[in-house]
Amino acid sequence: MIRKLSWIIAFLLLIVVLVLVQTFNPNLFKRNVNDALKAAQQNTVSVQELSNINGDYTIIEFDEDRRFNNSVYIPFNELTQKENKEKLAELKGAVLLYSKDISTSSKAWVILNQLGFDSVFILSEEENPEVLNYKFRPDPTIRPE
Amino acid sequence: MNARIKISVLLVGVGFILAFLPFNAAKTFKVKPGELVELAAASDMYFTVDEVARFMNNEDTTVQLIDLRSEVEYMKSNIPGSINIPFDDLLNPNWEGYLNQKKVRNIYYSNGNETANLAWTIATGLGYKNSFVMKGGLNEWYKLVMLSKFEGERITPRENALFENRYKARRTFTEINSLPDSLKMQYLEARRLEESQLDGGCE
Repeated sequence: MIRKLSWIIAFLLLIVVLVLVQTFNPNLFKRNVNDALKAAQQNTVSVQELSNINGDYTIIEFDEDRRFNNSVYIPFNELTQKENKEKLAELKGAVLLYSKDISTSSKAWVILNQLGFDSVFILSEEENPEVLNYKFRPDPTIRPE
Repeated sequence: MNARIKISVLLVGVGFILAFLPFNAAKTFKVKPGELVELAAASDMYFTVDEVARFMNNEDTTVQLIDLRSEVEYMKSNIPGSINIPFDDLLNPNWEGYLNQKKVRNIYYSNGNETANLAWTIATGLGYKNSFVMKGGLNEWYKLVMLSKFEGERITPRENALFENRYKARRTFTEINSLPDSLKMQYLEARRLEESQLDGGCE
């Protein structure tokens, strides 16, 4: 009887293998995207605030010419390589992502968040990089047509 | 063996596997990490403020500007033609029709570079095509477009075209954003209706 059912058993085993591969594949994002939105509320630390940080932290720089001493350089396009993920996983304390262009560290932050890294922050030159530095002054002479 | 028994065994087996699958109702990234890094490292995910100003001046319908700031900030001033999808509300299913589509290029902007790039990475990670960022955000827009002025005695044709583009964009920006709130709301409603009609939907 088992011989007669062999193709069905083989098919079911194939499904089980595929499910296991999908479940334990380290090269996939598995975190809920909502986590990134929630964590993004408090994900920025300014350079001025560095001295106030209690505990260990490591600065990860994405630019070749470094801004900080004792920082770790990881080229952005190699961020998800196995050795870099292992390097990040071994770090103790907060991980601060820095690039001259905050766009790069912002994109890296989402990627690391979704790969399951916690205590990761964007290190910004400005105290609040999302403040509008200009004020719009309406033109009072404008009349709708 | 009876075919019915075989099918039954197959179905029971699949059901058994499904029953033990880890349940995950969470929304997760569709794009693989390596691919997402590759897309994020490409410079073609950005538009300059001058390019956005040209899209606005030409009323380019292949472009949709998405303002990621709060509603209060958006109502104070925004780039005409943009829609407001606050970053905190990005995953609201109501916006999926705007974000997950292949017809127009979505250009995200905020005040600076941070929020727009966060939103771009989330949208692209979710597999939403046609996502872009306005480099520099509204701060760059104000610096280059709103405060642009010509200095010097001679102007090259290229400089002249650039200045005209910025000047026209500045005028439209000022005109629309100077409207009283009630009229601004009417303008935004009219645009929303126009978009839903273009999309084949209804009000």
